[in-house]
Amino acid sequence: MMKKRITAVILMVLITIMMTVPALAYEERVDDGAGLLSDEEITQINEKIDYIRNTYSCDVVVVTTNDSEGKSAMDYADDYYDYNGFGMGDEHDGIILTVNMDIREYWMSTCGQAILLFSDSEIEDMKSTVQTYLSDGDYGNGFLAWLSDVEYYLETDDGSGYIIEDRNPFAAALTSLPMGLMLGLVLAVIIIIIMIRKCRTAVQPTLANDYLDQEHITLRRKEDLFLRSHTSSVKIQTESSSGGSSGGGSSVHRSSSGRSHGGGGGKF
Amino acid sequence: MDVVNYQCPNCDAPLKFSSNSQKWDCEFCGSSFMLDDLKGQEAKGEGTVTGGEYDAKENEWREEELQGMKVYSCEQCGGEIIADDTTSASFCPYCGNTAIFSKQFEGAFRPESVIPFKMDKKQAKESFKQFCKGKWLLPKDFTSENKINEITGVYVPFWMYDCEADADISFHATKVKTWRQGDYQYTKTDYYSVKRAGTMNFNQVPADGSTKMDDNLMSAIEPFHYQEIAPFSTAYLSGYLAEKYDQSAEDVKPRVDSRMRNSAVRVMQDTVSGYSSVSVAQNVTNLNYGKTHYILLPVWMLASKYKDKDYMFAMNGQTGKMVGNLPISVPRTVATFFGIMGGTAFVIYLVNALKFLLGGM
Repeated sequence: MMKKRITAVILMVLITIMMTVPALAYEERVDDGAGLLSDEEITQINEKIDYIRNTYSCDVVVVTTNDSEGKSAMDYADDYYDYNGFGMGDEHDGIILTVNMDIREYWMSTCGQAILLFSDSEIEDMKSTVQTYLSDGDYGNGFLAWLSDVEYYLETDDGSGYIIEDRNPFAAALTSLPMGLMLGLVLAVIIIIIMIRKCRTAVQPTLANDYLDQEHITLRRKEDLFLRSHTSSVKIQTESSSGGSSGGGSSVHRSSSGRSHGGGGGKF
Repeated sequence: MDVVNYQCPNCDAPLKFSSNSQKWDCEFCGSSFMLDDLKGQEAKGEGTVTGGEYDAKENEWREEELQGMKVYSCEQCGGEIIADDTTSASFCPYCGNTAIFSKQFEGAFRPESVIPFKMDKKQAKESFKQFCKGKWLLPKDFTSENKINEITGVYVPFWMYDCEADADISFHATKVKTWRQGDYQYTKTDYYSVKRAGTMNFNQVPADGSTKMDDNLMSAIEPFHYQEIAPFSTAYLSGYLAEKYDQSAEDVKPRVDSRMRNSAVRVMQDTVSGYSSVSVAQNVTNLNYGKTHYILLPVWMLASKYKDKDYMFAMNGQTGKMVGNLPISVPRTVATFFGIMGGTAFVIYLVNALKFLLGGM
């Protein structure tokens, strides 16, 4: 009898856990602290997140808040992700989008394998998608559009991502050196030629215009004859906005927990 | 052979043409004279002839040295003046008197006209100093070490040509239009054959007729202002060197010829407008030369030596325009080259670093 009771209690607890855990998991991944979303939107977002998590093993979190705790949007996003234990797999793969209403900034932060999955240029693309919606105050659709982007980049990823090591601005700017040297070379050649010409003035003039009687030039023939016409066409190469390649580098920074994060954001 | 020197009608001291006052000044009694005051002296032209009969055997002059030389005797002190056989005005090395060898202007060698000097020796020196300024590639020690060992005012013989040019020129021309339609960029090129024919006149195109003078220098000091052309008088030459031509008008014609042809094409091409590109297809230009003038033009020649190399500069004695090839310092050129290249690269690097620093993160 006692045994049965215990079994029943355990069963009930298990059932409760089984029922609440997914429900909890559902709840946790959309934290609308700023109250920007309707219930219907939250459900839609949750469904999409669930689908992405199951299909690509990449965690997705959406957060809105009115209190950034005095942090920058980047730090807030990193900390929220790190300290709430999000992420799938050993490396805590996943991406988080936070909207900080008090400072009117947003940030998307990537972690683990997701750093490679979303390259800098893809983050830039997502930023421009999100930014317009946020500026218009259309938060629900903004998150849904963002989720579509996330799904698109996960689907088209070809595994060619790499990490741009430690984005020290002075090291990063070194990439501009070859271009700078080329430009400098051209500039130097032009300036040196001008300088040499200033030193070499014993040059025979090639024209006699100084001695031309400008007022007595007579033109006796003036013929402009059309011969033929030729038209050619070239197809314009349009780059599709969502970008065919998912390659490219991702730059990283370290969060307060010591983990590496990628990502980007801005004001709206 | 006559040697003329102009003397002050008041005190008989030698007279020099002053480029400032455009008169003849006497350095001794301070009087100055107009051309008309001296006209009588020109005709006089007394002097002794020794040139041709000079006995080379009794002298250390060798035959080839004497070739192309002429010996005159100074009217003032009787000293011998040795000059090139193209020199027509010079100085007596003993008494400093100006000497004009009037024989050199006889017959075909009498110039039609002259532009008198307006710039003096001091201005030439000053002008050269200015000329050396602002030339970054000039060796630093050039201005300090460089000594202009000689500044001479020379009347240089020039030929001047009047010419009518008749140009008949065909051009290839195109009009290019581009536009977008749908996903395609269209480029339409219309081809035209353009013909222009016409005549124009060139007046007094100059070319120097002296082999002694560098052709590049002599044409680089152009232009001269022709309003100040004066009828020739040997009086203008006193105080300066003067040359007579040793290249005939025919000899130097090719130099003005090509300049006028180029100008004729340019004039015709300027009337072709409204096209994206124009190029000369065929060029037939006939030059009908008119009068040829023989004129003496004022030039200051500056000779200098730097690191055992001779450098010649010329200044337009009327306008003050200075020309010549200055030495170029190789180390300075190399340093400047890499300085500009490195500097540009560094600035671009800094701008990029700043961009990353401010916006990138």
